[in-house]
Amino acid sequence: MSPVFDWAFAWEILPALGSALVITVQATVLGMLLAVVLGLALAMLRRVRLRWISAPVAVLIEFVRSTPLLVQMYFLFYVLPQSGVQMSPLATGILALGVHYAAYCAEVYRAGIESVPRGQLEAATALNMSAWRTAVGVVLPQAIPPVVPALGNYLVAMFKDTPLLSAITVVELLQQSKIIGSTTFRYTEPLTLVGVLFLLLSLVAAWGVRRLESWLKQFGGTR
Amino acid sequence: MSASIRLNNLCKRYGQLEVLRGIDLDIPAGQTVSIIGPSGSGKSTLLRLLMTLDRPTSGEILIDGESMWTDAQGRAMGPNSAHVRRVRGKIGMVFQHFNLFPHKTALGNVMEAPVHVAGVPRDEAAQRAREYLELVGLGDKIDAYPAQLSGGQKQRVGIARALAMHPEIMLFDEVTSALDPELVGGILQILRDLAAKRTMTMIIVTHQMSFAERSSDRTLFFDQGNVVEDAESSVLFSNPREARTQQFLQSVIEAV
Repeated sequence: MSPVFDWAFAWEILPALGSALVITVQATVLGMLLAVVLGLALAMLRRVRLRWISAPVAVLIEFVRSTPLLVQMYFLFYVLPQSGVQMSPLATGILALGVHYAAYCAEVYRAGIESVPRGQLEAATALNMSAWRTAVGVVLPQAIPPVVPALGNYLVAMFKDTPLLSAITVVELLQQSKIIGSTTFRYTEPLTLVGVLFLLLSLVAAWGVRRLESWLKQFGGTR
Repeated sequence: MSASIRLNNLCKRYGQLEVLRGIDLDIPAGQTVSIIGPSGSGKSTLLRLLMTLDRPTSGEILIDGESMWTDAQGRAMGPNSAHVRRVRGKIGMVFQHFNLFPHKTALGNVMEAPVHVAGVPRDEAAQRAREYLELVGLGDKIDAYPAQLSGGQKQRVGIARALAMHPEIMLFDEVTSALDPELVGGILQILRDLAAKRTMTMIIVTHQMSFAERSSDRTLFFDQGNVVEDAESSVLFSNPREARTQQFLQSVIEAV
């Protein structure tokens, strides 16, 4: 009888899982990049005075937040090509992750923006600053540093959502372990390793966010 | 250069609350005007309207004869319109709670608008910002962040920041009210020096009666959204005409 956990087998499949991990990390990093940038754009557009801009953006954010990521992923994967847009499954997955988390990030940014005191906006108006310069030079430098931890939580959450990519044929970490399992009939080692790898990288990401946080402290200033 | 101010039947309501009830006022260019009165009398609201932080409910504000919220054709203008921004550019304001940008140094606070609004090159703006900070007695604190400054020092930065945009009209909204008593004198001295130069029209909302009396040309007494009394400062304090003014001055003197 083979042991419950075969260390030799685990060692043997590690390179295959490692290359799948690269895909997972790639999807997370690019997805988060998209989420952080698009989320900020959405948060700012939502605050625009013109209702024909802010209202649809608000609806979009609510819609994306209130529908499952897996559904959005399937939708982009099956429906987007029909409208003539051709993308690789990985690119589709990154887009889905990015847009989904952008909606969450937009809410986080909004909280940060709303925490900037009114007096700051009044000072900017009194100095005759443009709406753009007020946003970029006054509001965002004070709004973003305090919300970095919340954004970091979403980074980790997104990382843990990447196995959903397996649903649209991307061979990321989980999919790779299932492939290994189905060819060797051993699931214990690959799935355990997937868990361990996710744990390790989540810890690394959390540590990175904390570092970023303390680095940003020197900018936001204290009121 | 300084600009004149004219208010025609200026009204401001917040919901049911009538804060300004039809103010008519003429302030010639270069004059220093103090506004006194009980809290809630509309003094600060008037400054907010003059700074375009709020829009009047009705009535008109004219800066050098030009309407603040309507263009030459009489069309209503938005707060970010070129017209309003041009008029706003003539006006500067110093706030009770300073409202300094906490993520910028003293120098950064003073340079911000010259660089990003007036388009002054950075080197030149920094040089001029230093001069303004020296003018308000903060030459040794240019690299300090607001959190590292005392209230009085913060307010000096606030004054330098407003001055750096060369306003023709300067509004001071209870600029010493948030300061420890021993820091008030220094700020008032700066205001006195600025008033003596007569390069700006100055409107000073204050609770410092002796400052209003001695250092401003004219004092307005506000109560319940009206200008109750408007006179030369020495006259208003020594010989108030209205019973309400006498009562107010009496209560202020008793408090001291």
